[in-house]
Amino acid sequence: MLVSTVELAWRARRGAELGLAGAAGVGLDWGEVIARKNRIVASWSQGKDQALERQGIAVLRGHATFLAPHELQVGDRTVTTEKIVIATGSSPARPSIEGIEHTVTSEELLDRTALPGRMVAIGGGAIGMELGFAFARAGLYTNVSVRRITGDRTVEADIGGTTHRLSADVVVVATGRPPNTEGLRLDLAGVRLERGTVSVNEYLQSPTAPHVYAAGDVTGRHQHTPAAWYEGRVAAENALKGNHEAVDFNVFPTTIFTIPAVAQVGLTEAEARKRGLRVGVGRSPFEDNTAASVREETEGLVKVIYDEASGQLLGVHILGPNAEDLIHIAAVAMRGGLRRRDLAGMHYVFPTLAGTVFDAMWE
Amino acid sequence: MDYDLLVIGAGTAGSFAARTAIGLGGRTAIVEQDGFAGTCLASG
Repeated sequence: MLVSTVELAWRARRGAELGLAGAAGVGLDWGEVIARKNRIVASWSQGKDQALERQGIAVLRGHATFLAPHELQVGDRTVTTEKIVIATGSSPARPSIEGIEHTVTSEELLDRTALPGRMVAIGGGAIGMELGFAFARAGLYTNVSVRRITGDRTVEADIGGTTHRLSADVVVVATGRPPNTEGLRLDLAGVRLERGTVSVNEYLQSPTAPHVYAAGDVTGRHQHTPAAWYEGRVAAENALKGNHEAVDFNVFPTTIFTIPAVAQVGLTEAEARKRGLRVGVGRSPFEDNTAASVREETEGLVKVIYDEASGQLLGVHILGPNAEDLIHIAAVAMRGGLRRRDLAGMHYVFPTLAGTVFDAMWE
Repeated sequence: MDYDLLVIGAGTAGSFAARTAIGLGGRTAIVEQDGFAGTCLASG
C-alpha cells in the first residue's frame, strides 16, 4: 500500500518530463499516508471475529497452550479437540547484533508518522528491498547491504571489502520472520520443530503428531499471503477428510514490490541448469516496448527460461513496469502447459507492456 | 471432544482454515490473542 502511494508520487514528479504542469511540487504528507494505511488495515480486521462467529465458528480469545495432545488451555478455559491447525504466523527477527536496541522492525517503521531523514535497512530480502525502495523513492538515503551495527544508530558495515560507517536517524532490521511458536508447548502435543518452524509433510501434517497440521508463515516455507490462504484451506481439508491433497507450489508467482517491481514464476536459469536440463533463454527489454517508452518507464526486461528440446516453459522473470501483473501471463501459460512457440505466436494488443512478455518468447 | 478442529491463530492462514472446516461441517473453533488480519495485510 505504501509502495503504491510512494510510486504514485514518484510518477507524478516525473510527470514534468511528460508535460504535466505543477508536477515538480508534488510531495508526500507522510502522516496522512500512514493514517490512511492504518484506517484501511483496521477496516480489514474490524468485524472479522463477528463474521467468523456468524459462520458458526467458535472464536476463543486468549493465548493457546497445549496441556496434552488433544487438550489445550485457552485463556482461563480448557478445550479438547480431535485435530489442530497451527497458524500462528511469524514475527520480525531480532538478530544478535551489538546495538540492536537502537533499531526498529519493519512493523514499527511503518507506524512512524514522520519520514526519517536518513535510513539504513539491514537485510536484503523481500522486506528489506521493498522498504529500501519505498523510502528511497520518498527521497531518502538508504543502504540495503549492511552486515553489522555498533553504537548508537551508527551502522558499521562491510561493503565491498571496506568498512563504512553510516549514521542514520532510523535503522530498520529486516532479516527475516521466524515463526511464532513460543509458549504453545508444542512438545506436549508431540510436534517436532525444525529450527523453530513447525515441520510438516506435503499434506501440511506433523509427521510426529498426525493430528496436528500447520499452515502459513509458521511452516517457514512460502511466507506470502496467497500461500497462507491456500495452505489454510488444504490443512483444514486434510485434517477433516484425511490426507488427500498435497501442496503444490510448482507454479507459484511471487513479486518483490521494489520500484519497478521484480516478479518471478518457476525456476531461475541457474536452478534449471543445476537440474541438468538443456536450457534455452529468451530476453526482451522494456526499452524495445512502445508502451514503456510512452510512459518513460523503460527500465527492466522479461527473461524466459525454457527446455530447449520441447519448448516447455521452466521459469519467467520480469523486472519492470507492472511486473506484478504481467507475471500472471507466464503463470497461466505454465499451468496450462503452453510451450514457448504457443506464446510467441500470440496476437496481442499494441501498444501494451504485455507485449514484452510475448516478444521474449521469440529466439 | 469439544471440537473436530481447533485453529490456533486468526491471521490469513487460520481464517481460511476455520472457514474451510466449518464449510465441511466440522465443529470448529479459532483462537486469537491479538488482531484479525494477516501479517502482510495488517502491516501495510
